Amino acid sequence: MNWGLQLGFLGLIGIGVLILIYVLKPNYQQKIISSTHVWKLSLRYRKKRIPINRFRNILIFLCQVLVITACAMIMAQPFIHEPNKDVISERIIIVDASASMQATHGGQTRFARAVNKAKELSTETLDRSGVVTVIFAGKEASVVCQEESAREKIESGLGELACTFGDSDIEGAMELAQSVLDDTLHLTGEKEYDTEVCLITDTNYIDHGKMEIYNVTERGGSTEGEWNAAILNASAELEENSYVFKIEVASYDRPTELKLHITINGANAFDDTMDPKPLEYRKTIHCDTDDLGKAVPVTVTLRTAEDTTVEGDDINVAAYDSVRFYLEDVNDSYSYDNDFFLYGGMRDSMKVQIWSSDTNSFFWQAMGVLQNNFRSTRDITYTQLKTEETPATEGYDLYIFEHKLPESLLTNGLPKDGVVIISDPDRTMEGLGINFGDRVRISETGEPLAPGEEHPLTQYIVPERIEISEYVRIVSSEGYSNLLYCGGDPVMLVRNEPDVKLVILPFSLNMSTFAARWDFAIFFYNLVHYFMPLTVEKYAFETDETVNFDCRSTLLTVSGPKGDIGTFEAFPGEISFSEPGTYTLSQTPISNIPMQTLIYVRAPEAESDIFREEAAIEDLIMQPKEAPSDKDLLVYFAAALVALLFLEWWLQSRENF
Amino acid sequence: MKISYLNDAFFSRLETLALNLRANLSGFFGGKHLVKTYGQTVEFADYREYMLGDDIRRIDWNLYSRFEKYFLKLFTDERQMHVQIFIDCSASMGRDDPKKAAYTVGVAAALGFLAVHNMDKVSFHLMKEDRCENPSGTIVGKNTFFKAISDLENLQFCEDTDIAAAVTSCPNTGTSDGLSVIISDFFTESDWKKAVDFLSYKKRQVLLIQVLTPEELDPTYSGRVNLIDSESADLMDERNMKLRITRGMLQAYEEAMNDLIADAQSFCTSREAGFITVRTDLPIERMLFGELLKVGIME
Repeated sequence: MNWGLQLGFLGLIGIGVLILIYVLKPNYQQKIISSTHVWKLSLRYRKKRIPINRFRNILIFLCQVLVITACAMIMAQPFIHEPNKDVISERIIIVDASASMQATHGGQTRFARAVNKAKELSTETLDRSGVVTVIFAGKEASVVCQEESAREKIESGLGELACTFGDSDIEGAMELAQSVLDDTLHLTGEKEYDTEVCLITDTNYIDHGKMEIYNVTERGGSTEGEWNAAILNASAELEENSYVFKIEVASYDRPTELKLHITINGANAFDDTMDPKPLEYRKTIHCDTDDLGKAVPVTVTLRTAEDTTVEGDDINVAAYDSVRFYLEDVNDSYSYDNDFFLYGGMRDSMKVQIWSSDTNSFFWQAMGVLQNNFRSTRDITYTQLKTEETPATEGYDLYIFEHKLPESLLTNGLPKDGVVIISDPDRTMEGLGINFGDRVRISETGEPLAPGEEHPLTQYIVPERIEISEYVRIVSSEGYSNLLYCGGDPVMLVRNEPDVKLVILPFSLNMSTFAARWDFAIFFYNLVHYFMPLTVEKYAFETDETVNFDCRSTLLTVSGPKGDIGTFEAFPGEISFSEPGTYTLSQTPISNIPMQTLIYVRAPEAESDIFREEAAIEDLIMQPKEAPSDKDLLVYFAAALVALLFLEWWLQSRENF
Repeated sequence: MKISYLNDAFFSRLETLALNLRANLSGFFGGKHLVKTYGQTVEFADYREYMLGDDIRRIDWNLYSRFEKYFLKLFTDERQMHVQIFIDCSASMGRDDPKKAAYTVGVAAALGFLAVHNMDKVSFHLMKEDRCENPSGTIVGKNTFFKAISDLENLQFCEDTDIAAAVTSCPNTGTSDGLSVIISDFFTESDWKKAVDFLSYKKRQVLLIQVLTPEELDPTYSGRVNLIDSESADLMDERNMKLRITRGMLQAYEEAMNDLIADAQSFCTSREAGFITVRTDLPIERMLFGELLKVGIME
């Protein structure tokens, strides 16, 4: 038999008290009666019963002693320990490695505190001969060690952990934890686990179910403790050929005045010869918190030429190389959001040369549409040459030759620094790789086209809407993709090679409805995207966000703050960056002019709220703990106590009234 | 407040009762009690043969005509009875229980009233320790009786009484002339039976009346008690008892009480004396009606 609370035996002191009560002379009440004569006579009769009375008194005393003993034993919580299968103490520790865990206070980051806490919890579990599972909740959750009992391995694993600059995959970590809980040994009951799941994080979860949450924030109020000033977002919009900058800032856990500093590099430097000085602007922004202590973001709009509330140069900015936004003189706990860079302020230029032996308006009209469509990302200029003018064979991004091929083309060969469109050629030429046949006249009304090979150039183009009445038959076209057909003959061919980017339209626009339809503008739209894609669609990303990129050449090199990252040959491609900073995507397109595209990667905006709160976290399904196998004897002792009390009552009632 | 049963209503109820006496008497005449000797009353008693010298006027000639022998008519004679009432004045009779004291006095007064109402003599003897006191003397007539009763109401019950010594020391016990009543609770170590023997020797009719309270018959106290005898001198007196009164003890007490009463009854029966036990919670008249009728003292 075992005792849960041995102090309960102090109740045996009651036996001593009971004996003392018996020993002490009982208090006799005085009663005056007329005569004790009869009482004296009655003594003779009483003597017959004395032995029985003595026996009853002894029984009553024994009952009382046993009652006190039973009470003391009940207080001592008796149980019988039944040997059963070993219970293994287990702790599953999830460490949050999101960017906000990099917040620093007292020279120590939250992540460092979290790792220390994880070590402490591990030690506690190992001291109980338990096992520890550590799950790292980084960009993707991973198991550092599973059901590990070796202290060194756990500490080594924890020591190798590094905090991320992005979101943490808490959900993935929960799934991993659940998989540990659901493993065979847990479910079959071969071993019994006493499992505790702990999450060490800086997020406040209101409802965390069965999980233990260890919060590592050091919130201290308006003047002490952690706080954060952040540039949440910045953007530039072109309004009437001038950029308007919008900046969103906030201060977490502390109302404060923030000094926003803006530096614009390469303002209005439309060509490489220009090297303007950086433009500097300053603005003080008051950031407050609401009644619940939550930050109230403030959005500031900066019009460089009009804003009188901003200190700085009064200049319209129509283009820029880069803009840096940063908070001056801020000593907050989380500094990775104190900077923000904007790139992409300089549009790609695209120069188009149009030469036709029979000048028409088809192409320049299409250029007008292109200019309008791409005005925010490209600066498209086109030159429509007169027939008598000699077209250049270099220096342009797009060459359009119509009808009779110019002599310069035949002499110099195809331009190698741009895309060439030859429409309704009168002859073949060296380097084309194509042999023309007879001119085919179909009918007066024309014949609708049929689709050929699926290609980005013909995306959204409906061939059946286009009719051609006359075209030049292609006899051979090695290395070309046939995109459209007419009467079984290809009427749109494309060839895309590192040094040859060529589109052949062996028909006259005058002899077709192509130029009259939207498909013509769509064709050029597709052509720009296909041959001259933008490297990236946007210039600001968050860490771990997928960056989709494309390339005009065959090789793209990516480099970052810590050097080269990689080279890519397949396009379009994607990449993600795990650390904030400025990254450069470099290529040398067909124009042979190196191109560099800068993008800015920042920590997720949500991580700037270093005191964020979540309503709930997904609860884990944990096997219910088996009831303790120890056999509780309390009921039996209680039954014995009741029996003894009843026996004593019976003996007392027999003796007394 | 002093308890007293002696009021006009009580005595008027008693007037309707008669006191019957069975013992042979000799003594004063004029009383209402008929005796076994022949006297000059008009009540026929018996016949006997004529003897030389008898008064011829008493010859019954009807018998002579029938039997041709001479027979005399005999007539009853009446004598006056002397009722002696011995009252136990020990402390147990009412020092701490005024009701018992009043009841005792009431019983004595009731018996005395019946005696004087029947034109008998009555005397109240107060037994104190080993002597008798008769402060009122022999009482004849109601006037003297009521005067004596008023003294009885101030009777003090205290100390101890030796009934036998007190009765035997009584100077005017008388012989064959009445009833002797001893009123006590008979809770005494002394041998009161000698008093009965003495009175029987004196050819007196003896009646013992045991006055008990309901608590004496059936104690209601229990537990650990230190019983103080009312006749004890102090707390250390050996008559005092420390007891743990249990149900068994009470049963033993009841047995002892019943044996005490049975023993007294059996003794009195053997001496042709009457013994009655009365409870102080019963009305005195009921006692007189019930118990005295049972023993034949009343008719």
